[in-house]
Order: sequence, then C-alpha cells, then structure tokens
Amino acid sequence: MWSMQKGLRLLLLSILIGPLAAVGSQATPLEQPTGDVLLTVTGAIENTNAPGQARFDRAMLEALPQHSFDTITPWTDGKHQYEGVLLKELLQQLGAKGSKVVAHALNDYHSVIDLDPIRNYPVMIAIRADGKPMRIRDKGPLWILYPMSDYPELNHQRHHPAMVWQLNRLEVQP
Amino acid sequence: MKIQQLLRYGIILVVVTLFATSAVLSYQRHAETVTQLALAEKTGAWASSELDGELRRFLHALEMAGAGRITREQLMLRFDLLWSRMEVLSIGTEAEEVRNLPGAAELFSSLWQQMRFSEQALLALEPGNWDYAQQVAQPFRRLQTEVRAFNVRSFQGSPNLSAAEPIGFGLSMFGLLISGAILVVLVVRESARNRLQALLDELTQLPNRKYLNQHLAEVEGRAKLGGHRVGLLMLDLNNFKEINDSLGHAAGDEMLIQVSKLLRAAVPKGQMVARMGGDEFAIVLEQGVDQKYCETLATCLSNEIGVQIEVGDNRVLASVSIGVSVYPDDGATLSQVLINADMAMYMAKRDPAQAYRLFELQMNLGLQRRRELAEDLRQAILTNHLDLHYQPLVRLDTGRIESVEALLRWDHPKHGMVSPLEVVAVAEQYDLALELNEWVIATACQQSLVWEAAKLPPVKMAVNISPAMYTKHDLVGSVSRIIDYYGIKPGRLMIEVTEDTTMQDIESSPDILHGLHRLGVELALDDFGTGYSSLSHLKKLPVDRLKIDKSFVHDLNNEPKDLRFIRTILSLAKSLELEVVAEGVELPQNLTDLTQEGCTLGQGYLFSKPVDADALEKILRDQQQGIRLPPWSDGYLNRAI
Repeated sequence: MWSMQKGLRLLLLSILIGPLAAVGSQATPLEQPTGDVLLTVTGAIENTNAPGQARFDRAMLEALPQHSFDTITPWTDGKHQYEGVLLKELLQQLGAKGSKVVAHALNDYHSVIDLDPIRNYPVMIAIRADGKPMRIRDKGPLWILYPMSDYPELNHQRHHPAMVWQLNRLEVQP
Repeated sequence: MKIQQLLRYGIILVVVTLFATSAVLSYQRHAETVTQLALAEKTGAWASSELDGELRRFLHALEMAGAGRITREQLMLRFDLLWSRMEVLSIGTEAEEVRNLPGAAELFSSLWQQMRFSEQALLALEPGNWDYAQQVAQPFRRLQTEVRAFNVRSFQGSPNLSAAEPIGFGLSMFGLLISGAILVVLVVRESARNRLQALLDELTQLPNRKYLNQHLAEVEGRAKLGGHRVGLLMLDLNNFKEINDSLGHAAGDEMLIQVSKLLRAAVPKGQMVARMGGDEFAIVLEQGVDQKYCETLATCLSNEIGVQIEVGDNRVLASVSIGVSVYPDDGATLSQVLINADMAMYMAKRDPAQAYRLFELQMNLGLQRRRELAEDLRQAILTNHLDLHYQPLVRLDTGRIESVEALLRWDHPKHGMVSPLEVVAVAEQYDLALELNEWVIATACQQSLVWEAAKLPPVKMAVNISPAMYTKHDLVGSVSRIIDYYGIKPGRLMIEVTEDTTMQDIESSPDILHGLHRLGVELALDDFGTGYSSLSHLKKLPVDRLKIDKSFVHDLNNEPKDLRFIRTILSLAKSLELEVVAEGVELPQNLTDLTQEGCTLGQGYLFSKPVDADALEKILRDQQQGIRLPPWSDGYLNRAI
C-alpha cells in the first residue's frame, strides 16, 4: 500500500516536472563561482555547489545556453533586446523539483512565480540589455523577463509582479 | 405524490447546484478582480510608496554608514536601488499615472537633481564620518517630507476601478440571481402550501375543523346578507372503532379516505365537506337549501356509504349517522346550528333504524337537562346525595330473604326522581361512571356491614354495574379495593351483569368476570333471555346465577300460559348448574307456577318493591321474629292455591 502510494506520488511528480528532472539528472555538476555571486538558488534542487545552494557568478550564467528576445515592458520606454538564460533551463540544470519559485530582489522585494502557467513560454533571466550588462540602476544585474512582445497575453497585470528586477535569489518550492 | 416529491427534490438539487456553482464562480471572479485591483493600485500608489520606502532605506543606510556600521558598497547599493526606483517612476507606462499626478514632475525633478548632485559626495563618504553623512543626508530629509506628502496624495487619488476588467461578471451573477429567484419562488410556494396545509386534514385532504370554522363565519355573513338558508350535516361512522380494532388503523384510515372521497363526489361543488376529526365529517350547504334537500342528500349519502365502502381486501359494511340542522330555522347562529346538527347526529346514532335525524328543539332541551344532571350528579356523588333502595330476593319455598338487589335512586332537587337508566346514561356520557359505580358498590357494602352489625339475618348484596366499568375502567380493581376497605366477605357481594353489557365486549369481559370470580364475588346474569348470549358464552362465563327477565314471567299472566321459555331456561340452568331467579313476580299465581316448574328464587312486587334501607331493615327484623313476607303471612298464598 505504502509503496503504491509512493509510486503514485513519484508518477505524479514525474508528470509534473519530469522534463526538468530528466535533463537535470544528466547535467554536469556545478562548478564553483569565481566572481561575485549574482544569483543564489535554494530549495528543492539537486545540483548544488554550496550546502543546499547553487551559486552563480556572471561567467557561470553566461556559460549556460543563452537566449534573447526583444520586448517592451511597462517599466521601460520602447523595445529593447534582452539576453540571458531561460528560467526553465536553469531549473533543469539544477534538477529542481518544484511547482513554484520565489524570486527575491536586492531591494527585498519578492514575488511567487507559479511555474505551471509559464511552462510553455521562454521566460528569461536577463543578463544583458541591448548587449550590455545591466546596472542596478537599470534593474540589473539580473531581471526576470517575460517575452511580452512575442506573447502579448503575458503583458498582463497578472504577470507583472513576477518580472522581478535586481533578482539575486531564487527559492524553489515543491 | 411520489413523483411530485421527486420533482421537488430535483428542482431543489438543481437550484442548489446552480447556486453553489455561481457562488464559486463569483468568488473566483471576485478574488481575481481584487487581485487586479490590487495590482492596479500597485502600479500607481504602490510605486510612489516604494519610492518613499526606498528613500527611507537609503537615509537609514546613510546613517549606518555615518556610524561606520556598513561599507560604502552597501551604501551605494541602497543609492543604486533608489536610483533604480526613480528610473521606474520616470519612464515606462506603468508609472505614467503617478507621473501625471499634480506636483509629481516637480518632486521627481528635484529628487533627480539632488541625487545627481549628491552622487559624488556619497562616493567620497568615509564610513564612520558621522557629520559628513549628516550633511549629505540633510537635503534628502527635506525631500523625504515631500515624498511622504506626495505618497499620501497619490493614495487618496480615486482608485482606478476601471483598470480592473469586469471578468465573467454577467454569467455568475446571472446564475446567482436565477437560483436566488427560484429559491424565493420555492419558499413562497412552500409557505403558501403550509398555510393551506394547516387548514387541511392530513389524511383526507379535506378542510379541517379550523378551516370549517373560518368558512362558517364567511357563510354566515353571506347568508345574513342574502337571506338564504344554510344546511349543516354532521356525519359520524357507526362502526369505525370496530373496524379500527379488528382490521387495524391502516384499514381505518383507508376507510376514512374512501368516505371522504365519496362525500366529496356526492356533495355539489362549492359546498364544503370537512373532516371534524376522528370519524366525524361535516357538510355545509349554501345553495338551494331547504329541509327536503338536506334530507334527500342525507339519505343519498347514507345509502352510498352503506354500499360502496371497501377496505383493502375486505368489504366493510359501513354505516353512518347523520344529523341535519338548518340555519336560520333551527338556530340564530351557524355555530348553534352546528351544535344542533351534532346533537341530531348523536340522536341518530342511538337509533340504529335511522340513518339521519333532523334537529328538533326537543333535543336541545334534552341536552340541557343532561348537562345539568351531569353537573349535579358529580356533586351528588361527592356529597352522598344519592340513595340506594333494596329489593329482596326470596326463596320461593320458604319465603326467606336470600339476598337484596341494590337499586339507585336519585331525587333531584329540580327534576325530581331521575330514573336509574338516565343516571347511568348521564354518568357514562359525562365520564362519571367510575365515581358512580364505586359509590354504589361502597354504599351497598357499608349497608351490608350495618345490617351485619345489627345482627340481622345475613343476606347477599347484589349491585348493578354500568357498561363503562367493563370497557373503560378497572372494575376488578375497584371491587377488590372496596371489599378490602370495608372488610366485607366477598361471598356477600354479588354483581349483576346485564347480558348486553357483557356480550358487547365478549373479548375482554371474560377476563373481568373471571377476575371478579377469583375475588370470591358472585356473578348474576341480569335480564337473561333478552340479550344475545349464546350457550357457548354462557358456558365460558363464570356466572353463578341467571335472572330470568320479567317479560318471561309476565308471559305466565297471559291465557293461555306460555311456560316454554321459563321451562327452557330452567332446564338449561339446571344442566349448567346455575341458580335461577325469576324477576317481576307480581301475582301469587306466578309464585305457584314458578315453584311448580322448579324455580327456587324470585324477586318482585309480590314480595316487596324496592324499599329504603330502614324499611328493609324492618322487613329483615320481622323475618327474624317470624313475621314473613305478604304471600306467606296473610294467607294470600294459600288462597291462591
């Protein structure tokens, strides 16, 4: 009975985050950051480089597959090009098992991001805007951005709080 | 009924589901709207309050740096964050609203100016240089006051409700409204039904007594205005109790339903048929009423009920008693006419030959008399204002008094002598039977003791018991208590049971009679030959003697003499080893004939009429001194022979 329940739970889990886990488990172990740590990931993750944590410096983040899109935002004028890593791929890399991510910012702001609704969107942790690293003054150094121009439905008040600028910590919740 | 009920539950289920769904939907919509509103708020007021917060945190950091508690980098982070906040407020669509608030442009501009101006000074700040830090902080503090004021203003700005899209409002609201409306309709319908239900009899769905009374008030009003007659019929089933008892209550209910349907069908539409309760129905006739019409309807109804009632698999011989009274002929008010009809019905019930009775004024008087008598009888029993007379039973051979029969006498102050039959009837009707019978038994026992104490020859004391004592009360208990109380020998007491009384309830009477027999009380079957007792009953009952009804003795007075019954009864009694008493012995010839036929005991005017206790005491004393009763003392007997 117990094993059945356990099996069922595993099945459910793998349905939910199966794709994440599959890639994550094959990923290479994390190296240690050498520069300033820009991002710390905690919570339900498998790959770590510190007790319970995965710490990234800029180089590590830039070593991950890079993506880019152009988008407008309610907090900027005009369209800009943003480059960075996809949230999805970062979580896969860490073998994250969770349905939610709490994104914390330098200014102590935080926002809970439900992963399921954005599963099919290339949600990005932007590292560069218009090819340049972002300063804190320009909502950097990391900014969670939704491709609002490519997917206008994402440009909705419902999603705006999730686009955390000055991101410095992610907490993966089961 | 079943289908209706299912339908009702179905509707309620659907409505509740609809309501619940709509409620959940609108809750979700509401939650979403609230979130949206909150978000819309954030975009405006929230951003400005964030500025306030960021500025405060920066100033705090400045103080900490001045105190040497944090590094320059930490301070610059706060400064960058403040800068970033200013950027957010200065560009982009989200902060547009805030920017457009009055005074915003000036405030932001002076803040930018101050920040740009102070940037170099901040970068030059040595942690721990308190005065320097204070100096840098000074202009920001001034601005902070303005930021606060601005913050408050932007909060007070009317919340932009239109920013929240009305989502799915229509559908869920529509569901709520519809289900609410249906519920209201259901409640209204239900309460109307309940109101009606309170006026309808549950079993037959006919109007009940309450409804009838309301209706009568209206009818009376109409009749007074229109000057027309109103006929009231009261109906009561004659054998309802028996059917209930023998076939069960379900059958009784079934019978009531059938009768009510039959009445409803037979009585013209618009004329009320009501169930008064129990097996009593009332009919109110308003149209074309005269006595003849009422009589015709009554005849019709009694015929139909007599023919048509079938209960379950049993064909039941129903019969009904109907009382008829007409307004205003029989009474000045409808309530009086209702009472009249009830009384007429009661009279019809007493006469098995008549299915209905029209009300007669005489009935009312009779009722009044009975009510008065009942009231006074209660008092008379309590105050010992009743009397017992005693009639001797004598041995026909020796003329010695064997026993006396106690007979009730009531000399009413207003109505004079009231016959024992009427006293018993009143007592039974007004629930005084127990008191009356116990009084009779107790008084008789007392008298017996008085005579015993006076050393008079021992005689048995016979008392009559009224039917209700068998059916309603605990006769054995009463007798046993009284015997114990007076300490009288049980063999001295004899109870006379009328054949009818006993046979009416043959199912329970044997127990009672056996109970009395076990007490040692003797039992005599009164008026024997007139009732319906069969030989098998006679064998079953523990009776000690039969009292031949006086009608058989009177037969001896005719020419030619009819001795057949007397003979038959005597031989029957002999074979059953019962004593026989001949009642109504009035002529010396009767005595001779009875003696010849072998009858041993007699009672009648020939020996003595019923006399009061004193007179009987004298007779007993005379007997003690050798003075015998008339037939033996004055030669009357010898002459006749």
